Amino acid sequence: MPDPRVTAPPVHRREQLARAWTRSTTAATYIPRSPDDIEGVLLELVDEVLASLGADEFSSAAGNRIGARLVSEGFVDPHALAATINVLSHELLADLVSTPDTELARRTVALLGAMSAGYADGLRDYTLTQQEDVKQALFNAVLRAEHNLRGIENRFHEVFTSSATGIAITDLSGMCIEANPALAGILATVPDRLPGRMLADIFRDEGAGDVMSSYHRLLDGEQARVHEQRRLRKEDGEIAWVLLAISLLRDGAGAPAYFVTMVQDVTELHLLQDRLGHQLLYDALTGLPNRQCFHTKLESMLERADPRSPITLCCVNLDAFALVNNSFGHAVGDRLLQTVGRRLEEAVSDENALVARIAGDEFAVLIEDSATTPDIGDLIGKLTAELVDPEYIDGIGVAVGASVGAVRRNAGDGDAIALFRAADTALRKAKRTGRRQWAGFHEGEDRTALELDRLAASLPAAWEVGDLSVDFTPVVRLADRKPVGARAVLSWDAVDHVTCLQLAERTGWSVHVGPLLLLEACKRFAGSEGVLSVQLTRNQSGDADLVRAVHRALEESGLTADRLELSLDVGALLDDFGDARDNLEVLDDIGVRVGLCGVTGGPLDFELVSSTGVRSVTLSGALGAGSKVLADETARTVRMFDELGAACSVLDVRTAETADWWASIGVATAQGGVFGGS
Amino acid sequence: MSQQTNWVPTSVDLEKASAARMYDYVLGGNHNFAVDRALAEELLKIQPEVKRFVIQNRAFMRRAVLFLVEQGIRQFLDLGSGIPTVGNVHEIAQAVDPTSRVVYVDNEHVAVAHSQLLLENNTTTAMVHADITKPNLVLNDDTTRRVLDFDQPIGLLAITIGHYILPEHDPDGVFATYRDALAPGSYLALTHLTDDFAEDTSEEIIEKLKKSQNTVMSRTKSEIRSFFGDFELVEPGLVGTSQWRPERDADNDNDGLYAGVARKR
Repeated sequence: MPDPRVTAPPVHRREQLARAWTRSTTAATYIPRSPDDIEGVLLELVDEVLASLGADEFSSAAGNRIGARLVSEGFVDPHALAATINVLSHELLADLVSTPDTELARRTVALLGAMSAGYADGLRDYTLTQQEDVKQALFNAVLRAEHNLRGIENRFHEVFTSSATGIAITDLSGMCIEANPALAGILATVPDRLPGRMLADIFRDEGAGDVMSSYHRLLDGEQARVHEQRRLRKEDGEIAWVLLAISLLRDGAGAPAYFVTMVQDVTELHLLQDRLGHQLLYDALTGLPNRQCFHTKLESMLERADPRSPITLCCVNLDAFALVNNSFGHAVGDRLLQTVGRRLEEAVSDENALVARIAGDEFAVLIEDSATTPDIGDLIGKLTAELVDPEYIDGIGVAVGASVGAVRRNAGDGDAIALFRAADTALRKAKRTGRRQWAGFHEGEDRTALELDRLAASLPAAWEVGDLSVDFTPVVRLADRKPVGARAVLSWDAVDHVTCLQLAERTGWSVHVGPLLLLEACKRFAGSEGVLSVQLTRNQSGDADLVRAVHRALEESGLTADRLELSLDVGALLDDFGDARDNLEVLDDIGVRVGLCGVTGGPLDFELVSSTGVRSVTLSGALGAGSKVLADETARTVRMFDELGAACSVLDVRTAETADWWASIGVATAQGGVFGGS
Repeated sequence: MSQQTNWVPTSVDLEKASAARMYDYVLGGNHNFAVDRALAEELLKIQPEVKRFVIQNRAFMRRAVLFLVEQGIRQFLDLGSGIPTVGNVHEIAQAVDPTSRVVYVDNEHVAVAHSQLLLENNTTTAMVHADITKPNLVLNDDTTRRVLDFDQPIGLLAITIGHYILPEHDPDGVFATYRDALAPGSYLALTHLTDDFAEDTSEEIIEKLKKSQNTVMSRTKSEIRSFFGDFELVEPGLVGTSQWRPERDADNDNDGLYAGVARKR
């Protein structure tokens, strides 16, 4: 018979108890199981608790078991024990209304005490086991770290010894502790010689810089790494260009401990750069300065020279150099150029002079004049005399003449570009007047040339805006002075028709604009009576697209071919320039009246007329003026053309008298101021 | 067992608290040192809820792994796995299917040493010692390649790891590299520290954690969402850890972490 004061444990609330227990413990500790699972376990324990409390003979041994079980089920957080005691004491004793001094209370307290003890034991074992694990794991980790460290050391050593980059490890005072074979190689010494030596001794800087200053910057924390290029003196006295990469190594506590210096030998790179630089400024064939280099030197010379001191610049162009190349081959041509360079240098060896090769077959000689410098004529004579002797190359005697353009002026009069231009203008003039010639430079010519260049450059724009257009000047038959057609001319306020054409030829724009002019002229003339005459320039005459342009102009304007007279440039035909000859033939075939312009009356002109379908010849009005000899010659020429079947036409007839004279010698048509027009 | 892939190994630093060991401590483990316990207690003083966050986070991982196993996933790559305290991925997955394969990745020496101890003689589970912010080292590690078949779907776990990837480590690029390595049908499960639910304690916690080896940064929901790339989030999306498919009615308390699981198409 149980003691009446004993209140039965709350068996009827076993599930509620388990649920409350689950909630409070899972909030306090993490159990990697589903809540249902946990509640199942705790329900088992609840039953054990209830059984123990309700037993006839109470023993707290169950408490020990339950405490240990809690640990093994994963309730290892002490908060879980607190939560357990809280829930169990509350729930188990909930039915006791007043007197707590019951058997149940006594038993509950005893059980919970035992449970705590059991839990503590279990937790101690658990902790000790885990600590064993910790010790073992830590031991393993340290072992592995050491193992890795050895691996690292091996790897570092391998990198250190096999690297192509020189590496030096030095202490903070700059004493070398270790150096690799690559560094020894760069410095032309053996690795064992380097440890113990000071950096400043190893890296003997040829420049002014102090090697150690970079290291101090690192040490002061101004920079994390230093990269720099230095010129070092090697052990064998040679110079090495190197790239240095310096960094600071710190010890375990973060304090500076060592410097690591990586050294890369870039000497070869440097030499290559030098060579490239040289190639950019010097002509590889002759070893002379090239145009760019010459220009720079000219500029700097003009800058530093006394503005009143005279200087002379000669441009020397080889005549027919292409002929040498073509006939004897480029190797001979190259040798000749070398010879010319050398001879020019010899010719001015007494002067403070600079010789350069400024283009394929063009040289420049710059002289800072002294009291003994010859006058410009003698100077040029000296230059050409040097070149006149043939050079024997592989048994072939080769000599070329040269045209020379020279200018002499004070250093302060104009810049390098102006000086160059003046010499070049003089050279072009020398070329025009014949080979083996020279020309000095005249200020006025240069200004005219400049002006013409400017006009030439503005032609396309003038055409675009309509300032430049096609105009017509009447052509009359001299027999009765009746108009028979018109000649198309260029009309521009700036210059007359002839100059305009010359300008267009100068830039090559004539070929571009030719077809447009032709089309425009044909369209506007189509409604008029008679024949339209158009004179073509040299470039236009040789233009491969000429026939197509004529076709198009005729087609679009409706002008018939026999009402168009095209005069081709006689020079272009004689030189067989471009497609000039083909053009003449095809134009003749399609019925266009083909003629010649620029005619002077030489035998070749007659030959050309006789062998082609040329129907007309345009003469310059200037041929009629002047001496009786010229007049007789002109008359003979006209007669000759007439016999060959080409009618002559004359330009620029200004007076009635000259018109009469031209008529008397048999010229068919004429134009000029006396007939109206230009 | 994987060879350390770093050129210079990080040493076992017992003077600075580590996230892995503090995590272990809060979960009731003993693989921790005085310095870890002291810092963890400081954190708990600032935010007593930290313990609940940690428990909820661990519970999320268990539910997520079980969910993935249900979806047929039998391979797992657990980034920043930490110290194998209780309820590790391989235990959860292999309880359902013993053939499940798991690769753990961590950079903390104690975590690695413990895991290796625990996994000795385990052929289906392995530990890779690597820095998870260098995904190519992780993905191309011999051990990773030996245990996992990248032609088959993999469950990629990034549990409480994203917030250790600071901007200078290009977190978007790191996650993208992992995602790209996975076969279609793979999943990414992650949790990440956030301020979105906070009562201004995170900043203090982050400040405290600067004393440890692992600096953290919290992120917003949209920033965390972007780590999933074009993967499709499964229901209920990106939510507080305790709200993600709770087994019992979830309390509505907020968590300090977002959790989500997404599938690669």
